[in-house]
Amino acid sequence: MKLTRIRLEQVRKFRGAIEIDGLEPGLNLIVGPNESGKSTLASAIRSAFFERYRSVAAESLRPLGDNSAAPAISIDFDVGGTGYRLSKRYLSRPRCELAAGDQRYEGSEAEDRLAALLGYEYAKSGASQAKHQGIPGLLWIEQGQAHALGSVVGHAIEHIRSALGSGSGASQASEEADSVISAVQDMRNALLTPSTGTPRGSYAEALRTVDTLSAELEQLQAEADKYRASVDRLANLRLEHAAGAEERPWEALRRQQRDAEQQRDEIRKLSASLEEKTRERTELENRASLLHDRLQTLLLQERELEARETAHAKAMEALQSARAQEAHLQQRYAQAHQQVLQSDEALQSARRQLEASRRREQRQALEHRIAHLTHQLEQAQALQSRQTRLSAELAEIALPDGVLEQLRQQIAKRRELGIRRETMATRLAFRLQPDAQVALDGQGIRESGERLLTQGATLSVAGVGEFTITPGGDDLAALQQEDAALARQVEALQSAHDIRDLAHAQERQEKAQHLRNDLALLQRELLLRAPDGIQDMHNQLEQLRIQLQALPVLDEDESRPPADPGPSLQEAESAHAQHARLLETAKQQWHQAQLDTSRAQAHAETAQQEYDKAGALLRDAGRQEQQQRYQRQLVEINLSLADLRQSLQTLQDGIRAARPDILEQDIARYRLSAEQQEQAHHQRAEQLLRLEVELQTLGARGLDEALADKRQALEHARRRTAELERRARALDFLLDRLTAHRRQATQALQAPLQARMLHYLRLLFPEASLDLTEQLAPDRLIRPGGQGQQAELLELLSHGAREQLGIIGRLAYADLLKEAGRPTFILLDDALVHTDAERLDQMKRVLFDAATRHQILLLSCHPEAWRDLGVLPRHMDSLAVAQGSGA
Amino acid sequence: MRKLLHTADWQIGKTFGQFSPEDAAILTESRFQAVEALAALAAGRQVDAVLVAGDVFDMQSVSDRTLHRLFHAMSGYGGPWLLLPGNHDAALAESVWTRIRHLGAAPDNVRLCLDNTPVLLESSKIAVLPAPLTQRITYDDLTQWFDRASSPEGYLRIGLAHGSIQGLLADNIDSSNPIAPDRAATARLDYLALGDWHGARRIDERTWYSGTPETDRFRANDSGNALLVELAPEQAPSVSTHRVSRHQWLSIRSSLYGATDTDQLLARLQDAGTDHVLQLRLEGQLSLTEYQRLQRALQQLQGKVRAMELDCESLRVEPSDDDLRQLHAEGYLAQTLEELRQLQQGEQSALARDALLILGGLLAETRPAAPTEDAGA
Repeated sequence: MKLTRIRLEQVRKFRGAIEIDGLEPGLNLIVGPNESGKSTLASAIRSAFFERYRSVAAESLRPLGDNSAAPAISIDFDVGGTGYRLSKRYLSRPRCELAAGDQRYEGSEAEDRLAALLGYEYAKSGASQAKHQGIPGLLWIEQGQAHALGSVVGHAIEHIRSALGSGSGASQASEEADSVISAVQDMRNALLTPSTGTPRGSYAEALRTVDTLSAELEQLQAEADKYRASVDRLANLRLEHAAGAEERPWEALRRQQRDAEQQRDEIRKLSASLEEKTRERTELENRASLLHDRLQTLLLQERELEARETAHAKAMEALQSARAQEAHLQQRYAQAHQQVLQSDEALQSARRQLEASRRREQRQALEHRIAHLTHQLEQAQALQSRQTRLSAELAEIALPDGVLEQLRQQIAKRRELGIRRETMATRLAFRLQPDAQVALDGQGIRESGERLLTQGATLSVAGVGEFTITPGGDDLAALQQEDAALARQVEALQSAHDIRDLAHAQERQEKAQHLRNDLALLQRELLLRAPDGIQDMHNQLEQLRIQLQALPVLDEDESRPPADPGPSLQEAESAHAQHARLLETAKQQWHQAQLDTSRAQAHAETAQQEYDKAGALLRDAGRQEQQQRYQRQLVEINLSLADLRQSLQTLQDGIRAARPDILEQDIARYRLSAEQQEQAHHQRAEQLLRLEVELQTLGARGLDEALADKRQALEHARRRTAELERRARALDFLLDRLTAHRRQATQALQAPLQARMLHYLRLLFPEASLDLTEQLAPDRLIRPGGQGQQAELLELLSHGAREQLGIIGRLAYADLLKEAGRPTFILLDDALVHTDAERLDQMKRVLFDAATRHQILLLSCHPEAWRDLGVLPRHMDSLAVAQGSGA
Repeated sequence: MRKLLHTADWQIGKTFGQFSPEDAAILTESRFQAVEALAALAAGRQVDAVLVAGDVFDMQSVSDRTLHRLFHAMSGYGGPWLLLPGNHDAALAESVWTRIRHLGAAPDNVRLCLDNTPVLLESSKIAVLPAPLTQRITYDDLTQWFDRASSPEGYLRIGLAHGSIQGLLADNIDSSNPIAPDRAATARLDYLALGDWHGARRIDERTWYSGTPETDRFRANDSGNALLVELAPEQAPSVSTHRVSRHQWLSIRSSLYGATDTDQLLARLQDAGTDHVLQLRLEGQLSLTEYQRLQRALQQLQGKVRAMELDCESLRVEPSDDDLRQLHAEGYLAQTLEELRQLQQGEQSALARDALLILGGLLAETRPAAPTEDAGA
């Protein structure tokens, strides 16, 4: 379908006429600012086709406030090589005319032909709605509606389906098939929940019935089982009871009990006898013991006598011994006393000797001192005389102080002068012929030598003459004089003190010194011997002699020490003390011995008495007879005891063997068992009665019959459940298979459409693809994402992307419809306003490509955006035509 | 000449869970009717006694109402009824029998043979030696005591027992409740009336199983009869079978591979009515149309007969070209049909067939035009 010319007159804002002529078979771009009438143009085209010429819906075409206006639209177009002209006038004198080649149609017929040709319908009344608009509704995109594709596809679905090659019948078939599916679905969903497939409705009801019946059956079964078990128990009980009544086991037990009791009684008798005999035995044993004791007493008396005898003898012996001891100790005492007397004598003697010795020593000491002092005095007097002699000698040789020193200095000074003279002297060296005769100052000199000349000398050589030699210098003479002066001083000094030379002076000096030292020593010695002087010594001596004369004169014995000096005083005192102690000890011992003797005496007397007494007892007349009687009795008793013990042992053995404790237990056991058996028997009887009543009651309920009925009902319910389950499974399966096949069929059907979609889509998204819904609308965009392919629902994409995909989808439908020979014409009113520049570039390629197959009329208020579309835009304001001109 | 009516295995109270509850109730009820028929037969033939050889009741604990109903059903014959406990109603310590006694439900002419005591029918000079089961199961031959049992001079010696004749029934070799096959001879019996086997069966000329009077299973073993035994001294007894059962149980196995097979089967079942209990086991392969026709016919039949057990598990559905044409199955519906048809041969065969039948049914419903087209062809 190609539009060639459009003319509007008195349509909305165009009170006059506008005309677009010479439309291109491909792209056509009409631009103009807002409110310039682009949308009026678009809606006029839609109205011309969709609204019946008599429709009141055409009111929207009326220019504002112009009640008399008659909006007229005329469109020339070409379909399948046939030229058409549609002329419509609305509201006032409405008219419709369609020229198709040579044919002309008027009014409704024209409109119906047009609808059939282009694939849309009219509204039965009122304005045309989207659901009526079919293919044009899909391809003619109103402003801002490019993105809304899903709904408009639905209105054209039949046309698209038929274009997909499945003919008109196919569509009906598919509808019927879908009704089959929905019927299956309904049936299935009556039995199973749609999502989880769990039983519902009658199926669930049947399952519940099965459960209920199963539970009831189980309970009945349990009761029946119990009943059965009870019946068996009853049978057993009856058997047991009958056996019990027959056997009466408790009676046998009672008999056993009685036997045991009898046995026990016998044992009891034995025990009594045992006790009796034990008592008897004890009595006999007591008697035997008594006799034994008595005999023992008699025996003891005899022993006592012996003991007394021995004791008496011992006491006598002790007495003898004590007496002997006493005598001995008395003697010892006498001896000790004698010794004490002797030692006392010795002590007196020693004391006397000591006194004599003391007086003798006193006289000797005084005499000794006198002798000593006398000696000292003689010595001191000798020293005094020697001191006097030495003092005289010293006075003779002593030089006054300083004389020696003065002499020594003068001599030293002379020696110094001599050296100075020699230094200044003329040295005469000579070596003479052996036979030469030479004299110096008259003294011949020979061979070789040397002479110092301090004053002029004359050398005479035999045969030659003399040589006078005068040493040079005045000093030598001065020195000669000085020396001479000194020599005189020395001479004077020496003669003054009667000194021969210096050595002599020194000698005297030293000798004087020695004398002085000797005198000092003598003085010290004298002081030692007579510190207080000699006179004092004389006085002392006199006093001592007076003392000596005052001492008593010693007698003959005393004057000399005795020849045998005897013991010393200490020894004598010690011996005396020793003997005194010994005496004391001896005295005590003697006294003790006296005491012992008297005690032994008393003891001996007592022993004598006791011995006499015991002897008297034993000599009693009846005693012997009594003892023999006792012994006889004892023998008899012991014999009876032996018999008794024998029989006791026998009794005990018998009792022990019979185990009376166990016998008691046996009796208790038999008694208990008998009671239990009997009680059990009675209990069984009771139990039987109870069980019988119980079973009769239960039996009246007809349990088995009820059980059978319930089983039957359950079987039926199970059968029904199985049928329903089978049906549900079959329906589920069928639905699954049908759905799968339909999906396959749809996919096959959609293939060409998909191919057209991809053709355009890949220009926009190179690796993307589109899913289609069963209603053939794009569903999901699939493109490579972060993790492989990502499918995005169209509704969730951005407005811009939806707009682009909306146009792409429509172009694909258009391709499909065109291939099927349906007329296509694409109107885009201000589409792609939400598309960015980059995408818009791609969309231009899409549109340009589509325009090679379809006529596209693009209305836009953005001329600059479409500059590179390869088509010259027409401006709205250039479309107005002069009133009255044109058709 | 003395006459006895020999019957057994009444199985009063038996239920039939395999059928619908309504049908099952009628089958349960029909057992009382069988007893009524027996009473009528006994009265009509003026027998000396009716011997019931065990399993009078199907279970021990039945309702009092059932007991009273039974004795009411027996009231048509006033002569002696000898009831013997079997394995289902053994004379336990507490049993249906003690219950009857407790209730006093049994009329005087009904004798309960609960122990090994000979029952003497003085007027007819018949001594009946009963071998009642006092346990549910025993492995002793309870009829042994017959050999030693004495009976009054001139009395017929009749044994009454419930169990399996040893060595006779192949599948009962080691069975419980055994009975020696030569008991009649060893015990010098004039006749041994047996119960347990539900069909009428002759063991020897003096030893018979009477079978149940009302058939209760699909087994062609001559059940549903009573035996009329005529006894003359020194002669072999004359035994005749008399039909008592109301219901006839039929088990039919049929292979269906086309319309003619179906027609044949339906023709065979044409006369089936309310006294029939049917068991159908169908196999083979039918077209969808044919299968649907069969189903409709069988549904009608189900309404007609007393009860029916249907097993079509081995019957496959093979949609024919005609089917497909009639169903107008196109596109993916056709593909689904084809897939289901093939799946019938696999593991999911039952599932596939069920699905196929549902789909076929739905398509047939949405194609009202199909039959007319068929009619036109």
